[in-house]
Amino acid sequence: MTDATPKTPKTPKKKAETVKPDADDGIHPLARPFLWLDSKWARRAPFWIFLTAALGLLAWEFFHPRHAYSKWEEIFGFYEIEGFFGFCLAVLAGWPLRKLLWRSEDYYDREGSDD
Amino acid sequence: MIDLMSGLSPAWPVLIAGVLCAVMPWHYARKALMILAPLAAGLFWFLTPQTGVFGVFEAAGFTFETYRFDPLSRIWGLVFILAAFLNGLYALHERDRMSDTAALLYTGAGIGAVFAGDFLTLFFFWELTAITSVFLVWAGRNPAAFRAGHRYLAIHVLSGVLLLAGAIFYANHSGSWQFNAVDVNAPGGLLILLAFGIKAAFPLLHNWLQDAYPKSTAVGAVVLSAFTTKLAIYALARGFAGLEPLIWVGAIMTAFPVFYAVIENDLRKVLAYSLNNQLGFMVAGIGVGTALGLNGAAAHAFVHIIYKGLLFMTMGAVLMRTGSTKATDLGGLYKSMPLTALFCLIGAGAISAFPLMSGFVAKALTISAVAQSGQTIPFLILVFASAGVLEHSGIKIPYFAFFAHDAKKRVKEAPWNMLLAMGLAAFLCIYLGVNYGALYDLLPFSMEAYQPYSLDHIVGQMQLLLAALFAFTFLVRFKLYPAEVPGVNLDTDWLYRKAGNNFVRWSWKMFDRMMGSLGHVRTRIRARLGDRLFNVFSPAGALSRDIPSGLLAIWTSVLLGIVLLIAYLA
Repeated sequence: MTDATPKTPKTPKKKAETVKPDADDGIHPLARPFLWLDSKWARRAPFWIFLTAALGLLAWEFFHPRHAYSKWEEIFGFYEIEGFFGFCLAVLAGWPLRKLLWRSEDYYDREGSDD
Repeated sequence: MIDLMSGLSPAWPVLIAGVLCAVMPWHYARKALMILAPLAAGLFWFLTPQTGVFGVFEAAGFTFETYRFDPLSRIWGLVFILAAFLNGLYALHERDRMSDTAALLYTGAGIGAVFAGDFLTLFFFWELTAITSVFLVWAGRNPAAFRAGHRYLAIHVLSGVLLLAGAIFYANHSGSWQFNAVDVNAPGGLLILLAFGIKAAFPLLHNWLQDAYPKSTAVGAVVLSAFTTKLAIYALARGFAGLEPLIWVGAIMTAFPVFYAVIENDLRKVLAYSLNNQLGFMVAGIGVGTALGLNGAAAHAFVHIIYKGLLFMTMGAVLMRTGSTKATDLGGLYKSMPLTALFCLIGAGAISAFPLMSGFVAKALTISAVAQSGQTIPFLILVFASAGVLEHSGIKIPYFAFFAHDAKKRVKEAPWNMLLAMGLAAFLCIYLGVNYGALYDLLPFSMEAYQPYSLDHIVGQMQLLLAALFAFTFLVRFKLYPAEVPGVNLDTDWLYRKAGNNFVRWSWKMFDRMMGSLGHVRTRIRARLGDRLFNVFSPAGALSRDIPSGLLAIWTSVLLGIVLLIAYLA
């Protein structure tokens, strides 16, 4: 007895994808080795890295005092103090300044403005 | 042939190429001109045998010196030519005849102005930079760019007019049209300083820059960033070196844009504020006026043109690919534009003055000059502004465009020509930082005694940068960094765009109403007067009535009595 059921014709196997997997996600090949930058630890690490490095340089200054050209430079850790607090001042001033100066994007496009 | 070329200003090949571009309908021919013209200008520059004044001619009783090649103009001329070449490369893909023409003419005018030996030649090229560069603003081809271009043109033409007026007064006083050190107290001196100050974007005169540059095209903003303001810095260095108030003007210029840049959402506008901040360092160096200060200004201008151009180039590439440079629309672009991100990071490192980058070896001169001059508060402000530079150009630009939250914009990398231009600029940022002798050899004064890579300087700068970087991570971690918000921030342009505009509109309406009221009053007066006259003179009027003779006799007697009384009393 022969098997009457006709054999289903073999469907030709699809050619292996020539395009690499995930190639349509729009990520540049040169960027792929750096996708770890999005990971949680990579976002948290700079805080500790910069803190350690800044403290390390402060320790360096302690053992190797600088030759000051300005009276400010005689203060221990002058550049770190000004770097940290200056940066914080510039950024934190953004809160009140935005309240004072911010306007909607169409502010100058409204009737009676610069048209 | 070489002798003939050696006396010609490098401005001419660029200007001629610009004129040819205007009539050249073929894209590739125009692009060839944009590359070849700076190369020809560079050849002219290199073939100039020694310092001196060339290209002198007389017209209408005036002597025009078109090519003064000396240690101060030499470095500015070279960096303008270099920038023109990079800009030509960056613009290779752009099919815009107006933009190509304007870019070349504007560049030629800038080169012509730094090589001008007299006020009249300077004025001619000064105005030419204004008239040609406005087309780069208009190249944005939208109503906002069109209006900003008008404001830009008005302010820059005003600067030119002030320069001419000042030069006339000054020449009358000094008896010479030569453009050398200017006595600010002499007649016209202040006008000349004001003209330079407008173009150099002094505080309160600065906002044309942040208004116009970000509204230009990707290429236009790159070209604009190179010439106008640095030409003004050159003019200040030539005319007002050692003018002490400039130290304070420069210090303020470095500081106030830092605050604006933090709250600005448009990253090209952030770069425009950053440009203002960088100009402040140069102005402060000029104010000190010593060899170190002037070298600082020149070195800073040289490296700044390259790294600021690079940063504008990266944002131009982002604009071209994503259609926006607003921080709220961007983020995570390193995934699709990794090379642009890399070049942006190099530009950011250079402007922040990391060691082994060009900003480090240039900024060191200015800050050292201010420190040695004994100006303690401006020194403090400049150090603060150095941390500010790191905030807005070192961190904000690359972080919000290429990293931060992923805005899921998956776009193509920038075209090859843009990448090539950015790559060359990035290379120069590192090359000049490492081989700083090449830069120092170009400076107006000898720099043999100065060593930028001293241990004190490296440690001090790294302390500043690392503490500021830690501050950034600290503020982000504790959610103290203000989030980016779409919108505009009021600046001095509010005075003419809103208050001035509203005042003119109100005045016009009031004038209109006044004229209406006057017309109404005139109509009423005419009507009343007509009625009265009619009542008196018409056939039915008072004069036509019969008057009783008795009444007339009484009035005559009264009048006579009054006259007699007056005569008796007198």
